[in-house]
Amino acid sequence: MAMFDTETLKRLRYLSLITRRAAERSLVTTVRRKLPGGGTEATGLRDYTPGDDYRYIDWHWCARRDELLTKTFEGEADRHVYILLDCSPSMGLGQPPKFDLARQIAAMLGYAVLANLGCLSVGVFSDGLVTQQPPIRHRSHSVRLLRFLEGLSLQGDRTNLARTAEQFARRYQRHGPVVVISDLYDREGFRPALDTLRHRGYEPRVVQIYGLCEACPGLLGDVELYDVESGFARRATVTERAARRYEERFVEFQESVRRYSATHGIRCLQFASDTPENDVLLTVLGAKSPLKTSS
Amino acid sequence: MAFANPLALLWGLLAVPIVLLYRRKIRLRSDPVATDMIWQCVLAEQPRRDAWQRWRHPVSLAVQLTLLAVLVVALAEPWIPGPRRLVLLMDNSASMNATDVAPSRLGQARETAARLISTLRPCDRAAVLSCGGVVGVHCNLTNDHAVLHAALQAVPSTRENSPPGDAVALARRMLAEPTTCSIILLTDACFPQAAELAAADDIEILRVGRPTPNVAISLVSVRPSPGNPHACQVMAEVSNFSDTPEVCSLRVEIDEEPVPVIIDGRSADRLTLRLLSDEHIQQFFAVATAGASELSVQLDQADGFLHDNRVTRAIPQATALPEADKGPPEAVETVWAADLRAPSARSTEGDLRVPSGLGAEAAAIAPASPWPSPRLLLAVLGIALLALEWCFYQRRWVS
Repeated sequence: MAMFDTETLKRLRYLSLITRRAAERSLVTTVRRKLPGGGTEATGLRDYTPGDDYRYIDWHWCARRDELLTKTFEGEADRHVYILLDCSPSMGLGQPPKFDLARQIAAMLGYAVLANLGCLSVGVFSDGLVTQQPPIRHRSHSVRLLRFLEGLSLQGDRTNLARTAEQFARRYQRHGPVVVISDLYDREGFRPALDTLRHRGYEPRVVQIYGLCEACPGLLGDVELYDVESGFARRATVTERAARRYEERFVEFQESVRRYSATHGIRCLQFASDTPENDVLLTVLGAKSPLKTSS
Repeated sequence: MAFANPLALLWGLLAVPIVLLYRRKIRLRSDPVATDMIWQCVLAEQPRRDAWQRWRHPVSLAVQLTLLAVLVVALAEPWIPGPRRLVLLMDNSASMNATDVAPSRLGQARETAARLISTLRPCDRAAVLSCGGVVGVHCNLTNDHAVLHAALQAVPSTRENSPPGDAVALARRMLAEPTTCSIILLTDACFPQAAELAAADDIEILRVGRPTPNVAISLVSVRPSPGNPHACQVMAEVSNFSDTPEVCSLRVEIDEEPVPVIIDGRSADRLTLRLLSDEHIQQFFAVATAGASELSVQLDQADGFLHDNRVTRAIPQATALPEADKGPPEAVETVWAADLRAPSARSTEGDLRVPSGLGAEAAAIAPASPWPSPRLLLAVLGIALLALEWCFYQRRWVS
């Protein structure tokens, strides 16, 4: 059965229309940037600097102020939106697998971007950038996007967000929103990667997906914990106290993601892998306020 | 310690499923996790109990097996016997010289008795009697194992064949308390009273040897030949104590020199005999003696008992008497021959069982002991182990 069927496409098209009104809350809303000489709407004046186009000199104000002033315009830049999709082995866990929800979210966001005449690039990563979808610009290319997402599989080794961010910043020079869809299980932490994106001029957004088996593992007694990313097996006796402590630690981890995002003005959404598809769709497209969203 | 109900020890086989289930239990299931970085932090916070974690399951198994052992032993009704007094009756009759077992039946009886003596406790005493011919007391009741072993070696082999009735009576007189005493008869049971003795409660028969076919010369008679002073007439009876037909040859030696025999006017170096099972054949023949003094009749038969395959007789001197004065023929002399097919005895070779009645009798007198009953002690120990095992699986112990 195809992951994105006709019903899904219809729902995407419909929801992308009705969520335009809520575009400000959408995860892929771009910020209007003032571009001197760009756009058509004059927003102000500034001192002339050598190299400015003579055509934008406001001669009326020059006559009044007896100095050279240049008009500034505010134009909506060509919106480049990037999606970084985690395909590390840890995304295969959960019921349903986290990777399925991640691809659905990527499809929703991508469709929304293409429907709003944006330019979309999708990068897939695990311990680095694994593969990518070349930039696409039109809604008619959404089928290509969906096929690309459908053809993805889990690959790579353990998650390495920092290396992925470095490779991404070297490969994509044009700034824009970068939506990181991942479980953020990186031993080095998620902060270095997001810091890299922020300081390189991108606008990172985070969609964290977790499985209920990770929030409440329900393990007790003697078990062998097998890390699907590192392949390391750890024998342990999980007591009730340890299970409770794990749940507390997991909540702290989620809270740390939200706290970091709030501190740095990064939009953050967190979903369990079994969240209903409609709720995810409405939340991602901004039509519904997420329960765990900070921005 | 002995058991009044030793069959209950078979409950010990329950240890096999317990061990199998234990192995199944300790096989850890593998749970995949997305990342172990959280588990690593959580487990690092746990108090270190590596030694306990390592030994928890083996200790649990040990407790379970100990509990099972206690229950099994309790079901087997253990009892601690008092000092024993034992009389070893060594059958040293002629049939015990048979070599169907190495080195001989008597030798094997000595080895069996030696093993029996080595199992005696310091408080136990034993005596050694021989009962093949004349009853002999080789060692009175003593707990000195060296003396007992020496007495065993001192039991001689004989060519007599007396039933052990007198020896049994003497042994019973030596043992005053029948509850803690027993008589062990080590014999091949080649005597008619074996079944009767086997039925007695205070006698344990340990049989040595195995049923062995035997062909024997059972009767030999030598008389002078009337009218020929240089010859004699011989009557020999050969018996087959076997369950199968046997073929053997008979020959005669004069002063250890083989001589031909004359039968029906014909001369032959040896006589070939075909005997059915339990058949006795009498052969009459003449032998030229020529003034010799000793005549031997020999069977060429390699059976398990060689002593009855050769009979030697003195040759009587002929007297010139008138025909009318000739007396009756010389009386036929019976030769002892062994039937090595022993009647069935109650015990088998090497079976060192305690007499059957002894356990019940000892159990009956057990309450007289000042110590608590072993069953009560085992029950208390079992309950304690059960409580300990229950505590192992309490979560508050684990967490």
